[in-house]
Amino acid sequence: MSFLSRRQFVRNSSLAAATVLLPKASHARASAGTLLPTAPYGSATTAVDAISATDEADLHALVMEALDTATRAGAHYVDVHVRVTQRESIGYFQGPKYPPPAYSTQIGFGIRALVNGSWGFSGVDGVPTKTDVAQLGRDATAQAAIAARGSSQVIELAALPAVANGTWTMPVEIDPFTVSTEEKIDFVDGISEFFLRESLNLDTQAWIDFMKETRTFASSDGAYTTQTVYATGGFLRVDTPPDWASERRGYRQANFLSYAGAGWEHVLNAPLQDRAHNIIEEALRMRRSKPVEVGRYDMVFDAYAMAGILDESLGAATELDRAMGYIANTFGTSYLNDPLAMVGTLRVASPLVTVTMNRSMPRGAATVKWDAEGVAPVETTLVKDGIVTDFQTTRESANWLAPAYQHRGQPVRSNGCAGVYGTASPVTTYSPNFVMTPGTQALSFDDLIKDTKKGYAVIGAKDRPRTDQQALNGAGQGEVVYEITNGKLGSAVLGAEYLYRSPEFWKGVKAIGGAESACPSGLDRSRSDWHWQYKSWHTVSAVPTKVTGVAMIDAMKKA
Amino acid sequence: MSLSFTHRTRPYTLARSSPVASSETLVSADACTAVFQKLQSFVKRGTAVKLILQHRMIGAADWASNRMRVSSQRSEVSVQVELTRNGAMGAALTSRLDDDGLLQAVRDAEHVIQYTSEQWENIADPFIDTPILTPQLWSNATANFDATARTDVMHHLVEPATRAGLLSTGLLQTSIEATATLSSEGLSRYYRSTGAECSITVRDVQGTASGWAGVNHYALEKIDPQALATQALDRCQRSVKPVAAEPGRYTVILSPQAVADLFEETINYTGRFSAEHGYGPFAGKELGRSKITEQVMDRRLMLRSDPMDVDGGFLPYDIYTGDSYRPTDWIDRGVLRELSYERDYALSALGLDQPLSYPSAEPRAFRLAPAPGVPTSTLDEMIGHTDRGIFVTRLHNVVVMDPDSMLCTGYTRDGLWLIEDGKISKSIKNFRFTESPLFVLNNVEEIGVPQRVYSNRGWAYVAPAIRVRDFSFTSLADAV
Repeated sequence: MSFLSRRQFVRNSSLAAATVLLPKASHARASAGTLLPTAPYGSATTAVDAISATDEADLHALVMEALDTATRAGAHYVDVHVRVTQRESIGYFQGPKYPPPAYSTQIGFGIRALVNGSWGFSGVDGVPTKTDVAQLGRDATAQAAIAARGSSQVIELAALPAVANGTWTMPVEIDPFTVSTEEKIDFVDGISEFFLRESLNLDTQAWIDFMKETRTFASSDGAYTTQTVYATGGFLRVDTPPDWASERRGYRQANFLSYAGAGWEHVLNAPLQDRAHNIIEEALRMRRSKPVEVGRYDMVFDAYAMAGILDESLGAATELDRAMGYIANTFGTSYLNDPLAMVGTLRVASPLVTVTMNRSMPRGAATVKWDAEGVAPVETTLVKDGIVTDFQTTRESANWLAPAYQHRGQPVRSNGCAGVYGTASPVTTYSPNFVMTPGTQALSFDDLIKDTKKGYAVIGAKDRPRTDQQALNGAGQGEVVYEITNGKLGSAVLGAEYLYRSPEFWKGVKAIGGAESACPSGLDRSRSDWHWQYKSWHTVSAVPTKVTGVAMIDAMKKA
Repeated sequence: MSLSFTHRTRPYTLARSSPVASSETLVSADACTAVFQKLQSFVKRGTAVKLILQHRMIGAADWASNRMRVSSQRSEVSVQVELTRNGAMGAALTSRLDDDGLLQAVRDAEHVIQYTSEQWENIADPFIDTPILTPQLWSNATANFDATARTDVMHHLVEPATRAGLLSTGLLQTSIEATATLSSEGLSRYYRSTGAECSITVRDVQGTASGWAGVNHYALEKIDPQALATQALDRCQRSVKPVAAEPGRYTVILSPQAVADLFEETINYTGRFSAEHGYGPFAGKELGRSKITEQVMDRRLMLRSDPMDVDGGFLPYDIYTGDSYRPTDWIDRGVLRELSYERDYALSALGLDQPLSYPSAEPRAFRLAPAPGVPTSTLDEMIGHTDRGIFVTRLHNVVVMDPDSMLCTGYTRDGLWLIEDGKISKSIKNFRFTESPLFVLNNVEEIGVPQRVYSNRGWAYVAPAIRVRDFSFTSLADAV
């Protein structure tokens, strides 16, 4: 299939055509280089790629120098991380102003040192010289020594086999940085042109975003690993003109474009063509809507809406450092506030609910071979049949659950949730991928609707649910909400907001979709320093879910 | 000099070119000029260059449950390179200051230019060098405050909580920052500043009570960490075992922090262009008009941004255009007087020779205050005047639901008390609120003396405590 440029695509399509081709570029790897007129930018190696053998040696020397000086200055444990991050964003907005592609390159070094049970950290953006890096190493140890003054604590790091010479690259079909900018722009233009040519004067906004990052990690335990990860995501929103009667506009987003641990193929192969008419139809239908009847109802949430709820409730509540109160001053606490007592015993959800975490799923945005402490993450069950069974841990925090692990005959081991937000930032707990285990019955979203006499269906998310500081109470709005009456979707509903209190919500789960109904969403719940607006994506795979007793209110109504 | 697109850049270079900012030294004005000249040497003839360079060195003591979690130092760099040629503009961002990194940024920006020639017509804005105000934003004591000093202070802050059997979690952070904007048209700005922030949360072991206090400023000597620790501890102790109160409308006393938490989103809508095009709370009745000259708040209030503000000074120019900020009264005695102009709108549509300051550009800063001559009340007086009401310490996760009315929702946290018969009577469970800052500021009963509050982004917010009628709490949110 030959590459259709925007110009060719527009020429080929017609208003009356039953099917309109969306641009499907061939896998024009720039190394083949034959389909594109000029030397494509994508063929030039990026900062991330341009590591020759000499440079690897250079980097290795810098990293070892940091480890060395930090250790010689008296640290009991040291680790070093280096990040090289490349980003490219291509956007389209209708009208004469066209935001140009955006590029950024970030490089940062971070050194963590442990002295007498206290952590010190030194980090720098940019490329340090050997002298600089030696000073950084000494600084990290000095920071730790100062932190340890007047302190009588012990930090144990859960045991870990050090990987001495590991390399890994996230498997993607097409490295997005080998695809020319022209091809990417044509792709985005093609989407927009397609919707524009539907007869109804649709407005579209679309952008696509690519990240490639090389992470080098070394520790005084003897670890040295290099891995390359990708994150690719897109956004498409279609707005319709106002309805003649209601005078309201409608809109709909393409939820399936959210970030994934994948390459160009994630955008290229996205089912835009298949779903286009659905997207437009739902946007149009939204314009004729009625207000919500306030009350408690059976609700059916689609997989995308559930992903956001899962992430903000159980996903946040099971971060162990949060649960122990250690981030109370910044991001908040958890309603699972006594992990040692609760793990294995506390019911947090209906027996239908099992939630696992991993950093290994294909196309998972948080998928890695090793986390930021060199731990190979383990797939872990956080909630089993409604009982909380584990938390997101790092080498340090795993020990806080040691009595529980030992009681269960499990090794005390980090389950691999260490990460870094921003290139020159300390290691902290980082969101892994979450999976809501599908139900054993092959139920779909439609099946759950059919089974509901009266309630509401919530599809997609207007934004992520807004929760309180303990991840306990939340409120959210679907992108599209329909009434359900006698097993059928009825009128669209405008301005409805669902309120939930996490334990009651999850215990109110009455039915969940089967394996075929699972959908992944790329979400970001970051602890980033605002300065870099560093995005850290993870994938949440959820299934459509029916929940009983959920409050629906009018979002705009005051008390 | 032409650029070859097949040039390989090496991300790691050992001492081939020493970067201008090491982990130990804040980038100097000369160093910024050197970077700029290097960029100019990399570009094709006829290309205008703009450099926006920000370097921040941050030291922090981060503690939890009465113990240090990590003592850290970070050097953060942001280099934005913008090239313009024949009306086309391309930009790229990097964190590198070494030669190869700058060259990569130039290559990226050059690459972008070829995609913008057709669509992005930049009117060549001549740079008008107006003198900038020179607020004092540097404190030597803050710049020299090192890890040892931070750790010592941290121990003192934690001690009262430890003695009381409670858990203190918090952050004490000091920073130094340099920001430079240089362009081929002669724009040359360099400014140094320091920053200090302290925020503390004290909680009980059972997790039934939480109190908070915090503030940021340019100078450590302008904040009192010990007073914050005492206040957080006090709020925690007085929050133990909260009872549930009924949601509904209440007379509410918002602390200065809560006022800022609720109001800060409004600043995002102070652009005149969007207001005149029907968007946001300051949009006028018809297209092409804003609410300028209309009353938008209680007549006793004013809203002002002044880089020389004694409590809330900020960078006196736009880091992108270099345009200097003049002190501006946005709202005077409740009447909207001014909105901010994007540069090209000011110059082309309004025929001005200079755009006004743009408070929704970063860093953001505002002073919400009683107008001159308006009598103020103390917190005790406000409480004393309240038959039945609620005192709010702070708001969390404030989100705008509707820009036109500024209706927001969010949660209360870290200290909520019922007031009965002029006294704080009991600690109550947190609420979710649905309320608009503009509605609130039109229902004012009493106003306090404005003070600097906490912005977790280091911005300069100054706000008073306010007692208001009919504040809407829509549901219970029993988080602690």
